[in-house]
Formats: sequence, C-alpha cells, structure tokens
Amino acid sequence: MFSVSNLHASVDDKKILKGIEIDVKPGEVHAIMGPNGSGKSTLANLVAGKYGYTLNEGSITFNGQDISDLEPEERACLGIFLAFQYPVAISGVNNMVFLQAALNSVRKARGELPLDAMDAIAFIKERMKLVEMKSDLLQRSLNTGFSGGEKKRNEILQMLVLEPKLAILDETDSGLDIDALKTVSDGVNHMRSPNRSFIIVTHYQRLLDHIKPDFVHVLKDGKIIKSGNYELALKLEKEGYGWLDQ
Amino acid sequence: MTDSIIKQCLQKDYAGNHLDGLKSLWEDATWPSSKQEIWRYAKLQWLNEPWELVTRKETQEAYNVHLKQYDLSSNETDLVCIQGKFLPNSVDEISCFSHGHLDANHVRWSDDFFNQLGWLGLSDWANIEVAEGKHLDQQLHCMLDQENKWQNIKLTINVKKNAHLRLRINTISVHAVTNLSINVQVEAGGSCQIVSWASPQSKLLMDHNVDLKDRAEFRYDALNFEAAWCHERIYMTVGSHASAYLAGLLLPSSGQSDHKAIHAHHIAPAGQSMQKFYSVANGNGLAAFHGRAIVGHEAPKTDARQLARALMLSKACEVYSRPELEIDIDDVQCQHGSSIGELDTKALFYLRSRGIDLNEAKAMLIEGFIEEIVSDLDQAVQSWIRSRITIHEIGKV
Ligand SMILES: Nc1ncnc2c1ncn2[C@@H]1O[C@H](COP(=O)(O)OP(=O)(O)OP(=O)(O)O)[C@@H](O)[C@H]1O
Ligand SMILES: [Mg+2]
Repeated sequence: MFSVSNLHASVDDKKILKGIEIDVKPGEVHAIMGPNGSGKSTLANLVAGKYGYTLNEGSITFNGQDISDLEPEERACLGIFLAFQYPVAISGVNNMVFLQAALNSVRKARGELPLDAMDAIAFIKERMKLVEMKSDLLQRSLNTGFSGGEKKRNEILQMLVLEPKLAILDETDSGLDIDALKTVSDGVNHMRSPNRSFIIVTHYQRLLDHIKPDFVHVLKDGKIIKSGNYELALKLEKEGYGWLDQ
Repeated sequence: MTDSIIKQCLQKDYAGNHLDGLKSLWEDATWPSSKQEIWRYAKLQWLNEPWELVTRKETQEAYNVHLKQYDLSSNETDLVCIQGKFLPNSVDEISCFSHGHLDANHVRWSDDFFNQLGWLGLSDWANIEVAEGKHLDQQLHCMLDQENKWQNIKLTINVKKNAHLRLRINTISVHAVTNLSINVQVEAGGSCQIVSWASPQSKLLMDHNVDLKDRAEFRYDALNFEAAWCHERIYMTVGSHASAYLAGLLLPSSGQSDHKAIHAHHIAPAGQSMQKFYSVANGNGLAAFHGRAIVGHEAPKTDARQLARALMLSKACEVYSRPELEIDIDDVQCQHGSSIGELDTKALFYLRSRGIDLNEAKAMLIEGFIEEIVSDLDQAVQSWIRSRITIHEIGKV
C-alpha cells in the first residue's frame, strides 16, 4: 500500500537520503531505527509533504499513486499521518477548534458528512480517554505550553481522531514517562487493523515491546543498511550500531 | 481632493507628527491658537459650496438603519452625533443637530454648527463628566453619511475621583472624514475604558490627550480596523500608581492604512503603561505603529511596556514598527518588543499535514494571531468584534 523506492533527497545541496527502499503492506508495522542525524525525520517529513527538500530521484507511492507532487493536505486526506518528533506550538489556535477542522477536512475527503460541534466534541473526547489526556488541554492553544509528554499525547490523539491508513510516528516515545509510553502504545495498538499500517521511528526497543513490529530497518547515513524482525531491535539495544559497519 | 491631501500627509510622515504634515499642506487655513483645534478649523475647498439639510426625521431613520447594518444596538441614553445629510443650494436652511437622551447627572451636551466658519465643516462638542464615585456606561455614535464631507467632534471626558466610565465610540462615517479629538482626564482612583470602532469606508483623524492622576486606570482599545484609513495619535501622561493599557488591532488590506502614534509620558512614581498593537497587513495595506514611553527621573518604579507584532501577508504591504523607550532613571522596569514577519511556515505545514487546506490553515493562523488582542477585550464587545473581523477577507492574497 505504501512504498518508497530509490529515494534520494537533499536540503541546500546537502544529500540526506541516498536511495531509500521501503515497502509497507496493509496491516504491517515497520520500525525504523538509526543513529541521530541519519535521515529518519527527513524521510518522515518528505512523506508528509514538507517543503524545503529537493527530491532528486525515486518515488513515494501510496495505494498505487505517486504522491510526491501532492500538497501536504492532499496527502493527509488520502490517509497519511505523521506524528511529529517536535510538534509545533501555535498560540491563539484553540486545540479543539483545530481538531475539529482537521477531522472535518479528512471526513470531507472520505466523502463523509462533517460532524457538527457537539458530535465532534463527543467523538474527540471518546478518543482522549484512550490516551488519558487531560481535558483542559482541549481548550488551550494548540501545543502552547504543553509539556513534552502532553505534546506527544496530543499527536496520538490526532491520529486517533483522523484514523489514517498510514501512520508514521517519529520518536513518539521520547519524552514520555513509563506509564505514558504504555498508554500511548495501547492507543496505537487500538488502531491496528488489517488495513492500517504504521511506520514507527524510535531509538528504543522499549516502545517496540509494546507495539510489536513486523519489520525493523536500520537507517544510517541516508540508506537502509539492514532490515530484520523484532530480534534486530533487541540486538541493537544491546550492541548499538557499531557492529553494522563491519 | 481630501483623499489626495490626506494621502500626501500620510506619505510625508507615516508614523510621527501628522499634524505638521497637515499644517504645511493647508497653508491658507486660519490657524487657531491651540494645537488640538487645528484640524477642526482646517479649510477645505470642497466644502465651499451651499448646503441644504434634509429633514431631521430622515436623518434619524438613516441613523437607525446604519446601526442595524453594523449589528449595533442603541438605547435612549446613547450620545448621538449625527451630521445630517446635506444637499447643495439652500444655504439658508443650514442647521445641524446633535442629540442625546442623556443622563443629566453625568453629561452635558452642546452642539455648535458651523459657527463663524461657514463652509469649514460640521462640529460637535460633547462633555462627559462622571461625578465622584459614580459609574457610567455610555455609547457615542458619530455619524456622517455623506461622501467627501467632514465632521469634527470634540469630546471632553472628565472622570472624577473613584468614578468609572465605560465608553464605546462608534464612528459611522461612510466615505466622510471624521476628525475626533478626545480629551480625557481621570482623577485619583477613577477608571476609564474606551473602545473605539469605525465602520467600513470611514476615514479617521484622531488626536487624543489623556491625563491620568494618581491611581487612575485607563484602557483604550483601538479597533478601527475596518476604516478606509485611520490616523490616530494619543498623548498620555501617567501619574503616580496610575495604569494605562492601550491596545489595538490594525488590519489594513488593499487601499487601507492605519497609523498609531503613541506617547506615554510617566511623570510620577510607580505608574504602569502597556502598549500592545497587532497588525495584519495585506494587499498594499499600510500599518504603522510608533509607540513611545518616556520615563523621567521623577518617575521611579515605573513599569512601561510595548509590544508591537505584525504579520505581512503580501509583497506590496507595508508595516512600520517603532517601539521606543526613553528612560532617564535606573529604578524602572521597561520592556519593548517588536516583531514583523510572515505566516509561520512550520505552523502552516503542521495544520496542512492534518488535512486542513492552505487557505483555511492561513485563516486559522491569522485568527490565532488576532485572537491575542481580541481575547483580551472586554467581554461585552468580544463576540461583536469577532463578528466584524472577516478573516477570509483579511487573508485574501
Ligand atoms: N532543513 C535542513 N537544513 C539543513 N540540514 C538539515 C535540514 N533538515 C535536516 N537536515 C540534516 O539532515 C540530517 C538528517 O536529519 P534528520 O532530522 O532526518 O535526522 P534523524 O535521523 O531524524 O535524527 P534524530 O534521531 O536526531 O532525530 C541531519 O544531519 C540534519 O542536520
Ligand atoms: Mg528525527
């Protein structure tokens, strides 16, 4: 359903991705691990449609369609979701209003009727329970003054609300306390289904204990240098990345 | 002709002393002695023609129609300053009225028409005096429904000791120029809150003087963002332990301009002043903020702040921001901040990545920016002001 092939991308003539290959089938969970600065977030942002990267070669395909020329909102409406490593705070934009606008945009794209305010609130509150998010965060400005963990929960809440077909979680686990990690993982597991796929970027195998991946890839210096299953994550946790170079 | 005069004035000196700009252009005017009077007596050629007043009744109807149009309500105690509808060629019939069904305890109302000035313009004077310990909630509607005409309104506000005034000033001067000058004095322990709004197409020249005595409180919200142009100057002295909060929203899009020149002079210890002005400029709109806080050596423990933020949505728009502090003494707290920028691309991407389309995302960001001023407003006007802001119009590129 989703594949990246021979993807080369750069920023200001600096080559960051150097031939990425990933193929994700419906229902699969892929984990991407790799050292800092290897290009994980770049890949995630590129899939979500962020400007500022030059796509030198290769393609990004989603359900048979090349999406590399689509606007970010078009990709979101197709069902692609990225939980950001560093979610932006936007003061003055009410979290609830934002969630509602996002929900109705995506519903519209799916050919569903928009939810009115009452129904939308009920729908969103239902999903908030899953991530045990404090309800006052709904009435605040989007991510403004949210703690690190609160921001991450808010990302997962958005995922639960938008019900994407492909969710990319970029280091959603960093910044979460042990209990929150469990809660958030439960939220993700709740979403797992035979026609929904996940790409989980993480540094720690702990998250993968909760969300068992089907595949684990190691991204280093813009290339996937090793792929395997959950065992690979365990080995990386124990031995680091050094052995991969030999 | 007015337009071109004003345009020249504005271009000449966007942020500073517009008075001088006007003065030099209207050289043949008979200048009165006091500075405040200058604008009101300015000689305008296009008024040099005979007039006729259409009956008072019609004008009152027009008044109600106008209020309705802007979703404003009026009640018996409002001050109303209507500059009637005039037709040429009946010089004898000239008369003007101002009326107010006034609370006699608080307000003295007088009107004066043309005076010896004949063709110079229409003038009204109002004095609002709030007696010691009293509260007054007042609306003032200033109306002139006539193209290329000019109304002069001088308002004197005197809030006595421990008295409180809340005043909403609505200027409805479609295509006409309104020259409004307010002199405010708030005595010890008194408070005064003024919200100023103007209808679309209105043109405003405003010059206010504010004098705050000990522990007086003053709040002024400049919300003339719908006006075709607005040129506003406030000169304020802040007494001991007095506090002043001046805020404004400038939303000029094509053909519009909005200027604020503010002078907050701290003349006694422990006063506070805040100037918070947010602008969103689009098209070839022009927004200018020139704020000044002056803290003399006689004003230790002053807390003076300025915050000017601006969003530029187009290439052709112009934004000038000049917050200035002049401090003669150490023992004070002063802050000024100024930022001018475009819409935050990271924030835009964030919203779009959730399915919200570009225009909607822009509108949300603009609204969020504006909300920092609006959410601070008096509850009584908040939702009404929101209804006056059409984000999609503002954000149109
Ligand atoms: N806009 C940019 N301008 C310049 N360099 C960039 C830009 N975006 C990414 N890079 C560089 O690209 C490389 C990959 O960054 P990326 O954020 O994708 O790494 P990452 O694998 O997500 O790292 P981490 O594990 O620390 O999150 C880094 O060296 C980074 O500095
Ligand atoms: Mg990263």
